[in-house]
Amino acid sequence: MAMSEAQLVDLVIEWVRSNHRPGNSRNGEISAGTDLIASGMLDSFGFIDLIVFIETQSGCRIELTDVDPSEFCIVKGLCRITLRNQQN
Amino acid sequence: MTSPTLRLANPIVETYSRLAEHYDDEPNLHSCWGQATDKALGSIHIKDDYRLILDVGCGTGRALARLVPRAKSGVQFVGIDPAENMRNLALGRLQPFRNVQICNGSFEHIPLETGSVDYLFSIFAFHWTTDPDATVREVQRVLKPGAEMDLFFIGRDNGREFIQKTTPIFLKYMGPALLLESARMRKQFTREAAHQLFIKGFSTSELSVDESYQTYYDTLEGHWGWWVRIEGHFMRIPSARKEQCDHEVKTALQGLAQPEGIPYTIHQLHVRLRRG
Repeated sequence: MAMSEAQLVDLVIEWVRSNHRPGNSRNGEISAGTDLIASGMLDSFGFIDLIVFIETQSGCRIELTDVDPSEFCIVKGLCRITLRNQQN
Repeated sequence: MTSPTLRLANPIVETYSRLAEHYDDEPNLHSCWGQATDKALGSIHIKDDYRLILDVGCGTGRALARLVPRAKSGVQFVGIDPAENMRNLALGRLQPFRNVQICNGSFEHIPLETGSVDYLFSIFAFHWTTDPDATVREVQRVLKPGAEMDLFFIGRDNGREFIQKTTPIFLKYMGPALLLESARMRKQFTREAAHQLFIKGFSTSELSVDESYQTYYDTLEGHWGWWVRIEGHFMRIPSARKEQCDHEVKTALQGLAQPEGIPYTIHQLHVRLRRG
């Protein structure tokens, strides 16, 4: 069964809470609107791990070519990119 | 001139080769990386019974030039590096020494016989490996039973201050796909992950993995002196936008300035293999 955006957002938030590098965020607050890079919660290595996690959970490969950077780094934006990939 | 669509076989190797003549410039040598390199090199001890010593990622041959005169006669040194112009500089520097060979090679492909090396060292090169598992197998292959090794390389949390400031800028100029592709060029392990990697090839009784965090403070110009080491990451930023990207990066780094200077923390891992 296909995952909903809300389910995927929850999974991503939970993953980030468990996996962000210690000392890499100004505070531990994270929501669907959090910019994971600007907040310092993830660096590019963290994003690589997160993408692998999302691909495993969603069962689809995330194509990042031509993705808008501002959508990519927001939790709900990344989830939308994933779900668009799932539909294509 | 860099084309937006330029793809290189290995951008890191190609860029090191292209910029080789700048690698030994004073700003790089005196930078935090120059200091960390000197510290690692100073900790290397050449034992009297070593016969063949290998430097993987020898670059322009500076480490070998310091170590070779310290060794007893009869010791053979080999330096390998995949960047042609770096090797050419090493060959020139080490020409006076008849017991040194400089060869094309890398962690994944070491051009030496199985079980031939008594001591292997590498200073800030291992993180450029393209295949960590293959590297462990290749290093294990060339080492003699009872051989020793010191690998110094960067850890997972290296340069945290700079990365937080610059990642949004590189994301803007490179886009998500290129940014992640660029990050994949480096392998940055936690201490635990490095230990898990190397115990695939070596006994836990002989192997140790240490880590250290050292913060260096410098001016913006001082830090920019070592940028030559990471230019390979930015090869695919269109040249027309590179200057503006550099400008934004410099402005962001200036924002880190404290009374002591701009901080940069080197997270170093040291994999050590010693006889049991």
